Amino acid sequence: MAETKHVEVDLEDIEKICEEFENREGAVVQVLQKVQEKYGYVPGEALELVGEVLEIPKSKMYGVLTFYSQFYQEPRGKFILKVCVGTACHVRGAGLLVDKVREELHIEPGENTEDMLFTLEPVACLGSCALAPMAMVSGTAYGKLSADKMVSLIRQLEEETVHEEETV
Amino acid sequence: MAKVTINGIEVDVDPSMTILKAAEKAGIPVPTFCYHPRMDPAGSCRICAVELEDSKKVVMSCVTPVADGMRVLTESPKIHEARKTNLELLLLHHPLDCPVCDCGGECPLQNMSFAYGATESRFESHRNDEPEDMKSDVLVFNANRCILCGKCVRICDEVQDVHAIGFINRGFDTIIGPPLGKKLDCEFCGDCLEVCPTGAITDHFVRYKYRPWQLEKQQTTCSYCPSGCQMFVETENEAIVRVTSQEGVGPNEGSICVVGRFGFNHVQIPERFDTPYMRSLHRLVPSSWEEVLPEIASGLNAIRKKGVDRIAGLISTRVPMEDAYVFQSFFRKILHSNMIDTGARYSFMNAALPIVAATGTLRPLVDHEDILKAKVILVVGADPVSESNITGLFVKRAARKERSRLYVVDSEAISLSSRAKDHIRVLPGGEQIFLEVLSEEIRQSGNLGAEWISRKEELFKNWNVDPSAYQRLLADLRSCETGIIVAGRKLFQLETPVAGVESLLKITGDLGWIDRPGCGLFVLPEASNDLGVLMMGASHEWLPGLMDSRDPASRGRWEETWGSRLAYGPGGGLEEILKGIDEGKINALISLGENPIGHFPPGSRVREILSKLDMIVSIDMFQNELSDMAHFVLPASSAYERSGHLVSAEGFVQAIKPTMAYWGESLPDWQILDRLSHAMGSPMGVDSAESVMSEILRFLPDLAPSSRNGSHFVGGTGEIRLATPVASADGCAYGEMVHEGNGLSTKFVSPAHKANRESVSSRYAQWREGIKEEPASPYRSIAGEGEFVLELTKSLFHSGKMTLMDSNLKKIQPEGKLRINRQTARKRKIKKGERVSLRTAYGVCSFIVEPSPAVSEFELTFPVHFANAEVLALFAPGLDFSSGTGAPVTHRIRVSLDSQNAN
Amino acid sequence: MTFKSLMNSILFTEIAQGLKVTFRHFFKKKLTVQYPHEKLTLADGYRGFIVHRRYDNGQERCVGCDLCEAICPAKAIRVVGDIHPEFPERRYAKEYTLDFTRCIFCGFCVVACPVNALSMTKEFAHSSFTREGLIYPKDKLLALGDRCEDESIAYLKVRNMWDAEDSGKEEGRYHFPPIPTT
Repeated sequence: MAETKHVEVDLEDIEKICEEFENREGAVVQVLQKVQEKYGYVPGEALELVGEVLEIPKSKMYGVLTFYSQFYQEPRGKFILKVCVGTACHVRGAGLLVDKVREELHIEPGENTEDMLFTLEPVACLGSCALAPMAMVSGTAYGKLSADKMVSLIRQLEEETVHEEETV
Repeated sequence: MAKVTINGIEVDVDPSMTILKAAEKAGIPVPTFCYHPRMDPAGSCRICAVELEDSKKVVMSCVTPVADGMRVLTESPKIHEARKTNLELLLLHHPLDCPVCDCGGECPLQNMSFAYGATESRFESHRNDEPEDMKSDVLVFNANRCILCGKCVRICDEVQDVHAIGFINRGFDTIIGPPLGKKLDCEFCGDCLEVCPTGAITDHFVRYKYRPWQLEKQQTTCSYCPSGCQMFVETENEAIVRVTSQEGVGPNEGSICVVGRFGFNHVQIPERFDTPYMRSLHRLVPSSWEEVLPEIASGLNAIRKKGVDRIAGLISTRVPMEDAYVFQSFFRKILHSNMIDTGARYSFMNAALPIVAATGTLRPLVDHEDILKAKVILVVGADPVSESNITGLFVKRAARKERSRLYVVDSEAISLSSRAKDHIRVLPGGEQIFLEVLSEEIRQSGNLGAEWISRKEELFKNWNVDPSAYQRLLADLRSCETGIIVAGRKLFQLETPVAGVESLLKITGDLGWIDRPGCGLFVLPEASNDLGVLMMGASHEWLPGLMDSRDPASRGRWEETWGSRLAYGPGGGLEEILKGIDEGKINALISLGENPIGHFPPGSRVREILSKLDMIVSIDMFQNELSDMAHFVLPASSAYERSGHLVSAEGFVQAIKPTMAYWGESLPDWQILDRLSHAMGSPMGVDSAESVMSEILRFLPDLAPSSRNGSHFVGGTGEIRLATPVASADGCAYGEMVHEGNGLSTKFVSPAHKANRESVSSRYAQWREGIKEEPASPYRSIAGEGEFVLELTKSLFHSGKMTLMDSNLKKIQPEGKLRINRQTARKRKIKKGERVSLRTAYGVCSFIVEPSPAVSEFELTFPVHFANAEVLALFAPGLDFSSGTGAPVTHRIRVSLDSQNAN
Repeated sequence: MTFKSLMNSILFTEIAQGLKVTFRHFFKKKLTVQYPHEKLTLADGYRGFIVHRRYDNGQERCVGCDLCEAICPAKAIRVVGDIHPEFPERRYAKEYTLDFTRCIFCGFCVVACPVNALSMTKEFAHSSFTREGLIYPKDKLLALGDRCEDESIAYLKVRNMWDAEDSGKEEGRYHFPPIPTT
């Protein structure tokens, strides 16, 4: 598993996000979602700053953060491989997909690759059982996958990134 | 009123009450885990289930309000089954490690499982096997034993307002702990430890060292701060094992602070003096009472013959009233000296003198219950949470739950300021200017000249006062029905403290608060018994009962009562004592727990002056600078060993009781002085602390023991029992139980503890006439070059210097750190834990830095407990007694800061 | 005096009658045991000296819970619990003294022990010239336990306490912090 590199959090950014929701205490989940959108996860420092701005104690903020599984406390990869392991996908061999990813990228479910490119995340159901077995990466659904197709998908994503970096 | 029938007993209750409260009123216990009388109901443990007879429904009694005509069964086969199933579900994850659990033996879950026969669960699941969270210095969280009743989280939120712990995760994985997986960082009051119904929260200090059934429990009064908390000291074989509190008992209502709960270890360490010492060939050698007392007596007799006021006495204000009474009568009757002073001189005397002059009493006009009812609370120059923790809790509760408008005037952000409507963050020392302007504006009530207003604006600008916040405060003070001003240590230690306190008194009077119940001034004394020791006349100004010691009439009165002529001289306080010693007019000093050297900068010659004495007798528990130069060191008993009474900030006279035997050969102060008087050939004949108390009560009956228990508390639920009044040995009860209504709910009626408003009112009118109305006095600024004001503050984790000997408290706060504003530190690139040095014209001292957002950018604070000679060297040497009350001025100075490398 | 009684006194018949039992036992199997040289076999449930037991890995079982002290009717046991110096999550008995001059060998402490750290042995003849010699500290109890391990196991088995042997493990009745395996 990759060593987690925590980002520097800027108070002004946090204040801006809180301002969008008029610094309302009740908007804490939305604020945290925005923070996660910005940083890819919710850094501990950001959590404290949000608490200070919204006047919510740290202990309560942490309670909210750990209550919802949508929030992450550790940095995550650029591509999150959401592999469906719901009933339909399971029957059509989702387990093999997960195993293949584990083998290919040397990561366990929930972990990041060392280059912080991929995170493997088995999810319960993505709602497209007709396309089983399926996976979702950055909002795009990939249906009727097989282990080989999964590998080529990973390769394709890797190439895209390399290409992007070169153009930059 | 609603009529409810519970188990066939009919009770009339308020319709807003819950079934549980109604059952309490009917005297029927209902088992609970998550219910706590001081907090909002949670309804999470499902153990308080009761059956409604009509609808046959099972409801949770702690969250269900009563309805008229409701018929409730608290015990029925259905309820029994429901509770048993619940217990089985709770035991699903609860490890059966009772034999090693510290809670085993006093565990409500254990008792309940036993009572309902649910010793094993029918359900199957994995046992939780989380490792314990032992990161904190104080508490250990064991997630496996936790039943998630949430009491600890709620007491931290609702009572302490600290929010240090919370629920983490969800469902079966829920645990309780500090946020972000960090080490617990809080006030360490230990209330969560107290309310935890299982052994999920334990503490490092006594972990695994006791079993509850082996402990002997004794109720006593905490002798650290003036809150007057009732605590239970639990001992095994004459050694204190732990200190607990009991829900609803005492003015603290079951909360005690970190110092009271964990600061008991220093009284049982080998460093304590356990035998008298005598100086022989420049060394202190262990001796015995039989040997020491005649030596001291002959020395004192010889000095006494030289004339009056030849022997000086200093007494700590942590001793009980009885000892202070014996101390002053020993000096005045036997040593013919009025050269006596107390530890209150360093700070609280600055408030006590003007207050006694204006009101004739030291007892407050208001108490904590009035704070709850007050609509407006102004906290000025005080940090109630660290100075008198329970006062702080009541102010927090007033602001949070009772919606009182709280104003804080302080240069620092104290823990209350987050709850304040306005925190007027004046520049360091501006509190007094603020009060003077406020008092003048209230007195003139609108008839102010343009010149005055422009001056006010200028002052406000100079001292960083927000004029709109000031206007809001002024309007609130003028219009409120009930208002209270809380003032404390910081205000009494300004350069001209009397002016500040007089302004407060003027404000109180001009707002008409003297005659209006529920309104008034609440000052926080510094030590547990400042009020009691001063009321007993242990200071040169006053005879017992705060009578003027120089007034022949009051002197005559006490001569009559004591039946002996009081041949003392004019006397004097600390200033005169030091001067007298210097001039050779005073030849001996007897100090009861006081150490004047530690209060003055090393260059002040105090040590040289004291070395001129023929005889120094230091009666103390630990070695200090004075005992090092004393000719005789006598071991004193601690507050955990002696009996007596303390007067709390609220005016309650509460008993401290012996919880263990006297340490070694130590004796209480009264007994040492009594034995000394015998050895001198003029015995005082004091038998016991109780006999002293009855003598005091004969002449000052208003000091009859009094106390209060939590009023919200009815009792009868689960493990919680209503405290019964404790009759003290001398026959003075703590008040009587008054039966109300159907005779099941009870209330304490205690002797009056507050000042009598009528007598205060007449005295105040006289005082007010005598006070000259002057425009704001020229503020004596603190001279110096530097850009910061260094202030010595009181820490929450220590009380005086004695607790530095306490291993438990030293673990919590091992060293003093210089607190600096976070932004300033960032700007000057100073990191946490680095060393910086402070420089004044008088000296240099290096400190470890702790950046904090609470301190203003003009200020640096350092805990006064850790102010040793090196730190004091920063302050101006010399004996500056210019405060007007004979108090030395040493607490603040301007300093400049040099960053230096960590090495 | 009748003729019969006269004959009885001449012929010592009464004595012969009295000695009949004695003579009969001349020819019976001997019951007396020559104690120091010969010893009886004691039952497994014999309540002899109390000992401390260890786990297989040599760790002492006692968790210092004080339950034996609480139940002891003769107040012969004194336990001082504390944090284990090596494993801060474990409780252990810092001091454990058993005063055999007070002990009435009722076996309650063995029943109370939640971890089967106590058992009874067939040792009964531990005499001493001083009273102090019969006040056993923990190391002495452990040493005795090591010597009489089989007896202590047999006692627990015959007294139906062997089932709780698994204590300390996941499936045990009580659940303590895991036993260190060093």
